Amino acid sequence: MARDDLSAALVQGVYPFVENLYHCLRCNYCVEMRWQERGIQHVCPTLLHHNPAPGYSGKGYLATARALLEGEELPIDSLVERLFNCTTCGNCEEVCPVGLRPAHLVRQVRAAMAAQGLAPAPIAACAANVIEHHNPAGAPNEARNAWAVGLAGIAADAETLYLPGCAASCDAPDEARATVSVLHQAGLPLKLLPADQARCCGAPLGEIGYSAEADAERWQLAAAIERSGCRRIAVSGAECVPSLAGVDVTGGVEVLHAFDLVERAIAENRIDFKPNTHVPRGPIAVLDSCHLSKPSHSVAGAADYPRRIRALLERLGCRTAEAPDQGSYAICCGAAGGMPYMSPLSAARMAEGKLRSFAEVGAVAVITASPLCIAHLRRSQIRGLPEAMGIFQFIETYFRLRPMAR
Amino acid sequence: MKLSELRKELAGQGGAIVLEDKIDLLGYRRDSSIALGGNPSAAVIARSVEDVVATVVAANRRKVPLYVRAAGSTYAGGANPCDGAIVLDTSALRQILKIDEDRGLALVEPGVTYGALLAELGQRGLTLGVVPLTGAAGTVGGAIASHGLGTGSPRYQSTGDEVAGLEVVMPNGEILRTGSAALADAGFFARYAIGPDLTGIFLGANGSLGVITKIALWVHPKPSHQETFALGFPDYESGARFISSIQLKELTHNVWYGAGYEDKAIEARVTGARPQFERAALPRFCLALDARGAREEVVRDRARIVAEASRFGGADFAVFDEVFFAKLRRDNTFWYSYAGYFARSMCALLMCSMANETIPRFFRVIENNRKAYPELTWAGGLVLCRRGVHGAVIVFYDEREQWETVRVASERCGAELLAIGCVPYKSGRVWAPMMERFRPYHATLANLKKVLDPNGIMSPEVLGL
Repeated sequence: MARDDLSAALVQGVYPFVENLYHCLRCNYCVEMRWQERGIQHVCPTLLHHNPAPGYSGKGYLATARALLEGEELPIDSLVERLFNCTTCGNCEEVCPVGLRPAHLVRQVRAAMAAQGLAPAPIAACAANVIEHHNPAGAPNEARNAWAVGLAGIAADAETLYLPGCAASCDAPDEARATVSVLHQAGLPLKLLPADQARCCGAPLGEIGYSAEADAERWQLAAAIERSGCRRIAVSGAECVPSLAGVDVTGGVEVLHAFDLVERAIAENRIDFKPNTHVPRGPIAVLDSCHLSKPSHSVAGAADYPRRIRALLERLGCRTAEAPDQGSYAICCGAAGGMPYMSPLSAARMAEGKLRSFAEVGAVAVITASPLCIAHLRRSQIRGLPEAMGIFQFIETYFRLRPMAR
Repeated sequence: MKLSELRKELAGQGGAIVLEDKIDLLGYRRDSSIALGGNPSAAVIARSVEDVVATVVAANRRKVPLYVRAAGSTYAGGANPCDGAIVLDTSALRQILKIDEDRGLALVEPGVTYGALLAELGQRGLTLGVVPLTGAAGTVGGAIASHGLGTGSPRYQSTGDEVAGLEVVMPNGEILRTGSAALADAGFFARYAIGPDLTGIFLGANGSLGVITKIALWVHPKPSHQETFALGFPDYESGARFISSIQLKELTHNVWYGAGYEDKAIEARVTGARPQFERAALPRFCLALDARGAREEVVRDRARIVAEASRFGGADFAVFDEVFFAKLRRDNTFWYSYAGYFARSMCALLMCSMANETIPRFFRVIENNRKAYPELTWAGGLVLCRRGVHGAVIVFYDEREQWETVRVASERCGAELLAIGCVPYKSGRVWAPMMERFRPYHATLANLKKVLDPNGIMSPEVLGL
C-alpha cells in the first residue's frame, strides 16, 4: 500500500489521543519506578522481559504517536514490532501521574495497522483463529463444551447462563469444571450455550487490534445469550466481564464473574464450607490479574477481585502472602495483549518472573480468578515455583460446600 | 559515524545495548524541559562501567558528541542531545551497591531511582537528606548531575551537599574516584580530603566533564513523626524577613519541606478546592511547612516557628495546609514531586536560586510576565532551603500551539531574573544562552572543560560550553 495511505490511517488511529501526546511530562514513571507505599516495584513487563529500549514504553508509544501525527516517517517494521509487543496491561496508565492512556493508544494504533493488513503473522493467525473457530487457540468450536461432559450441575432450565470463556474452555478446563462443581454444591445450577452457538466475547480480538471482528463475535454471542432466555450470566474469563458488560440483549442481562456468585451465597448465608483435606501449610498468594485489578483496564479491575479472593481465603483459614508488586500496580504475567502469540519466549519470561516474585515471599500456590492467567502461568511452570491454580479449583480441592438449611 | 561500527566496538563490553532504531531514539530527544531536542544517531544503554568507558572512548575517537542521561526527567534541557550525537543512557546502572551503616552512607549506581533507594533505606529506618522534585522515577545520577533539591532542603540544602564522593569516567576513559576514595583501599567516607574538592566540579555539570558511575550519599535516620502546617503573610517582604529569621535561628532544623506561594497561586489553590472561601481573607504570601523528627522536637519547633511568624505579621493558614498537603496525605509518601502536580497540562519550569531579600522582586518579575504574556498561565513558587530559597517560575502552556511562545517568554523571564540577582540553579540548555553573563566563572569552566575534554565531545552546548 502507498506510504501516504498508511500514514493517513495511522494518524487517524492516534488522533483521538492528541491531548495525551502533548501532555506527556516525560517524568519516566511509566518506564521504571519503585514506590514502596503504593506497592509499585517496576512498571512495564515488556521493558523488563522483552526489550529495554524506550520505544517499547508508555512514554515511547506517546512519542511515537506524536511523531506520526507530526508527519515523521518511521520504519514500519519497527513500529509493528514495538506496538504488538505491549501486553496492554495498562500499568503505565495506572502509574501515570497525569492520567495519560498509552495502553489505550496502543490498541487504537494496532487497530489502524491491522486494518491496513500490517498485523504481524502470529497476531493475524490468532485473529483468524477467533474468526474461524471462535477462540484464539484455534481449538475446534464443536469441542468447546467437552470439559462439561457428564458433569453434575449443568441444567437446561437453570436461570444462570455460564460462559466459561475461551481460556477456561480450551486452556484451563479444570477451572471450568471446578466452577460448575463448586456452584452445584452451593445449590446453583448453571446452563451452558450449545457449542455451535458459543462465541468469543471479543476481548482478545480487541486487544490485538481487530475491533470490528471483536464486535462481530460479541454480537453473535449476544444473540445466543438472547436465545438462551437467561438474564444472568456468570463468566470465568476475567477479560469477558468488561467485554460482555455492554452486550445488547433485550431487557438487559446481569454480567457477573462466577466468583461473585460464591460471594453472594456467602453473604446470604446460603452456603457453608467444610474442609475436604488440609489446606496447604505454606502461604497462598493471589494473582493480581490485570483485568481484575487495574481500574484503568476495565470495570472488573475496579471491583478488585484479588483482594476479595484473598479475604475469602483468609476466612477459610489459609495463610496468605502478597508479592511486593500488588494491587492495581502489579506487573502483568504476560498472558494478555497477544503477547504469548507475538513473542512466546518473552511472555514465558514474564510468567516466570511473576512466579518467582511469589516464590520470594514464600508462597506455595498462586490463586487467580482469571483462567487466561492460570493457563499462561502453567505453561511456564518451573519446578520449585508456586503452583498456579484457579480459585474454583482451589475451593474444590480443599473444601466441600453445602447449602445451608434456611 | 556508521552505527554498526559502534555496535561492533561495544560488543562484548559487558552487555551494552546499542539502539539505532529511529523509534527508540525518539525518547532520547528531550527531557522534561521546554528546551528543543535534537535527533541522536544512536543511544547506548550501559550495563557496566566498562560499557561507559568503551562508549566514551569510542565517541572520543570519532569526535562524536556524547550526552549522558538516565531517566531524563529533569527540566533544564541538560540531557537534550544535538543532532547526530550518541546518548549514553545510564538508567540500567541501577544497583544499590552498599548501604554502609558503619560509615553512614549508601553507595549507588547513577540509574538508581529515588523510589528504589528510599524503599531500601526505609527498611533499615533510614532515609536520604535530600530527595529532588523529580520524584519516584528520578535517578540519583540525574539529580546530582543537575543540582536536584526538594524534600530535605530546609535541613540539608541540595543533593550535592549530601554527596560523600563520586566515581567518574573521565572524557579520556580514565576512572576517577573523588574524596577519600581517591585512595582505593580507603573507599568513600570523607568528601573533603587530600586537596581541593573534585566532587564539586561534576555536580550540576550535566555530564559535560565526565560520566558519573558511582555515588556515595550520606544517609540519615528516618524521622518518626510528621506534622504539616501553613502560615500566611500580608506581603512578600514580611514573608522574606520571616524566612531569614527562622533560617538564622535554625528553626528549620526539623523542617523537611517548605513551599512558598504568591497570591495568585494561593487563590487558585484555595478557591479551586474551596470555591466558597472568602478571597479577601487570603494572605498575599504563604509558606507551607512539613516538619518531621521526634514528636516533642517537632511540636516544640512548630510552636516556635508560629511565634516567629507572628513577629512578622504572619498567622496560621489552616485551609492552605488542608489543600496543599491533601495529596501528600492521600499518597502516604515521603517526598514531593512535580510529577502529577500539574495535572493534564504541560508546564515550563524556570528554576533559580535567590537570597531571601530578592523574593518580592522575584514575584514581581512573574507578575510582569503575566501581563506581557496573558495567553500563558504563570505561577511562582519557592522551595525553602537551609539558606536562601529556590524559586520556580511555572508557566502552563499548550505544547501544540504555544511551544515557541513559551520558549521566548521563558528566555525573557530568565534575563529579568538575572537582572534582579537570581541565579540559575540548574542550567542545562534552558539557561545556556545566558551563561556568558557569568564571567569569569564561565570562562574558567570553559578552560577546565578544554583540559578535561579536549575534543569537546561531552554534552556540547549544555551549560553554554
